[in-house]
Amino acid sequence: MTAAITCRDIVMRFQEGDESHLVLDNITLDIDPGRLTMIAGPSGCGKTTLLSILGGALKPTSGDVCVFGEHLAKLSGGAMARFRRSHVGFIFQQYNLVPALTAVENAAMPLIIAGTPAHQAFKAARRELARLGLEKYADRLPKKLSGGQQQRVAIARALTHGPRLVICDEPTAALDSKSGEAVMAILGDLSKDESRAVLVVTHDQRVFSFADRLIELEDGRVRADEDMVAIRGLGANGEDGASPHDEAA
Amino acid sequence: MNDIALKILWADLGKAAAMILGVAFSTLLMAQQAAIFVCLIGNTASHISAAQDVDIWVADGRADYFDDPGALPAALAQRVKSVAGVAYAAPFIRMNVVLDSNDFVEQGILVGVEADTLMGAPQKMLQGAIASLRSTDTFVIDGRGYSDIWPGEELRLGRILEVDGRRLRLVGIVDPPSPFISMPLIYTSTATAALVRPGVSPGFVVVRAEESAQAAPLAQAISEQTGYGAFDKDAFAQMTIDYYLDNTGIPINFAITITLGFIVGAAIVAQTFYLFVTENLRHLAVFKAMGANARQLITMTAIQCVSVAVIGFGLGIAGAAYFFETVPEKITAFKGFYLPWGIFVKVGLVVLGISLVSGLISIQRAVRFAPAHVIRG
Repeated sequence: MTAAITCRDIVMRFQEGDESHLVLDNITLDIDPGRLTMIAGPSGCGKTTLLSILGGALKPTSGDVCVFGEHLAKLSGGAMARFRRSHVGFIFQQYNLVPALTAVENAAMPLIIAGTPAHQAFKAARRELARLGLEKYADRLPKKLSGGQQQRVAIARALTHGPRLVICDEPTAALDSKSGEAVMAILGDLSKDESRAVLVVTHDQRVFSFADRLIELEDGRVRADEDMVAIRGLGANGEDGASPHDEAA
Repeated sequence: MNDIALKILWADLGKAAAMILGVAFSTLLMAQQAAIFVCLIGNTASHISAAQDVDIWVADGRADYFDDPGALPAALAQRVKSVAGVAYAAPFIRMNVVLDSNDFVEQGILVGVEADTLMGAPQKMLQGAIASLRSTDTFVIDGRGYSDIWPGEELRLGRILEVDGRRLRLVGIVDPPSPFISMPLIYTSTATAALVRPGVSPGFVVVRAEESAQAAPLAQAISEQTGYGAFDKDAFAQMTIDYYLDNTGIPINFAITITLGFIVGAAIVAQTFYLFVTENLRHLAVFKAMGANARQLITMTAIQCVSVAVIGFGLGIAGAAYFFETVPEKITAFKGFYLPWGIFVKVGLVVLGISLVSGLISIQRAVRFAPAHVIRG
């Protein structure tokens, strides 16, 4: 299988006054499509910084990042924006829906930003919302939706333009356990698509069981990189290694 | 994106209203004060522009504006008449007098026009006929002066007024040009003026050019042949306006008010826009993370700015227009004041500029905001 993302020797330093902070220290990874990859670790370990670099929102200090054949370090700011517009869907911890816009308008934003005519964008957004069970909430403002519904709108927004890479930053952190599981089940489904990579940053251990692969960072380095499918398979005496949530999902 | 920008703007109705009111207030202040200034300064030359039958004003070479005429020799009008291209030339007196109606005594301005031609006399009469000035010891008064001298009384001809101690009979009431100096204005013949103040000299000689002659070259010819200053109507009006601009505090006072309007408007709009953009920074950053480029963010902000500017300007200019529609009818000091098109356009451009610059300065934060920040929360 060709990796969706390859990163080699990623180093990220932040300058703060005279002090230089090393946030990522020689990270080298290959991330495959068709799997839900989780990046975990304690606060400050660099997981969100790594996610930002892989999503084309931040350039590393050094190293090479190649996402679906695009070498991000070589792209200009404008080209990075075009890359994100075409290939990346973002799901944020705090949903980050625009309160003035309805669910369908929020979900249509990536297409509108990409220049798709509004009626086509809204049509696609409604379709995506319907797929996530939010058809009847499409014309509601975010404040009229529960946290779980808002996060599903955010997922619809991340998917409506058909991105090949879905980046999720602590998607369950603001949700109760039931809503969190529902959201993770949706993300798990998404990751089954062989043309798409789903990356989730989390420190919520309750959702580790949804991961196909779990990468743990510590002090800017990869501390552990585990194939959860294989581990689950061993735990089930060599059976198919499916996630315990697959049936529920 | 345009619709989205407008939805975001109107969703925060309080801030949108604050920005619109800021622009409206600024527009009102700038347009109203600028228009009053233009009309007021224009009124300094209103007697010149209202004397439609006069093409050229001949004055003492040292005279530099209408309200301070020198003393010209009585025979000058004859010399001017002899210049080729002059159709008529007549003496024109302007002097300050004391008006006494028994009930009130006050300062006034007497304008003496030649009885034969009545050149320089106002055309529009409220009562009576201007030709009645040809009778000795008669006068015509402006409507506003009538109200000052006989307050609350109906317009009535035949009344007697002492002018510098000489009793004159009222034969007409005129609707004169908007005054700059708010003193009663009376018109007499030059003969009656000489009876009021024996030995008075004309301040000007007013000239009508032959139809084939052009005013400016003719004024030049009169000046060369007589040795006195001669100015075509427009040039003399401009000289008078320039005098008041250069020698009074009027421009400074109005400039201060107009500048204050600009500063207050700019401050309100800039501050509110800054707060508006700051509060929307997270959403703009999310758009940026999704791939929106700087041009799209700037366009969104520009649309919001233009919307605020257009509505605010509309309200402000409507307020200014309402002022000029209603107040000049009720307050004679504002008689003839109006909102010039030039001010409408210029204030519109200034307001648009304030709104756009404020918005574009504010949006810089969002443009510079790294998309990674929104992921970090």
